[in-house]
Amino acid sequence: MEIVNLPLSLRDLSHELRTPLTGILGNAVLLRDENLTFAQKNYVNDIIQSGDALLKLANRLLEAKKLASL
Amino acid sequence: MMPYVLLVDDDPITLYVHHQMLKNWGYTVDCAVNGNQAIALCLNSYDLIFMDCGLPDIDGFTASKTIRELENIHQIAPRPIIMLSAYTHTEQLQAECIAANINCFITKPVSFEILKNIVSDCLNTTPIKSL
Repeated sequence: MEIVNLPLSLRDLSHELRTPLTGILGNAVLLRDENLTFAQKNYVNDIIQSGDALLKLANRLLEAKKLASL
Repeated sequence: MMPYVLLVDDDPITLYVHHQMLKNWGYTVDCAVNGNQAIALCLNSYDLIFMDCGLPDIDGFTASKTIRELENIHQIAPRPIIMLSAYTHTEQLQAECIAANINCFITKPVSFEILKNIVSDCLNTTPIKSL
């Protein structure tokens, strides 16, 4: 895939990922602090873990951009 | 007295998450969804201002500069402004923060623990620490 043909720059893409991730992770953390059952806590932790993985991806996109510009 | 905070963000979900979090910490929170609304509210006796970077009318840097001018005109001691942005920190953004007298730049999403530490640092620091 050619990076130059992406409709968004990687920096913009990273930015666009972060806004919904703020909603997903923020609400999940707020939910984790409620009175949840053991099973519900596990579900919420899975959401947080998956959100963190996406966030790492957003960071890696920026690293890729830096490498591409070398 | 619990801190009185102005929260500026145009994304309703982000605004809700941060509002809820600050409320849970016992803070009193006013919200603004654009730069001009933030400017209209900024003379209230806030202890701290959270500013988004990309806003629909004027950007967070321009809004912060105007807030600093108004503080100066009305002889209000400058309150800490924390920029919460979905952009990652770059030298260019750092320079814009300094130009607008913004105290701190944080990339969203931010863990609540980190945010809590930064907020208490900002509230305990007088005079305001520069970047």
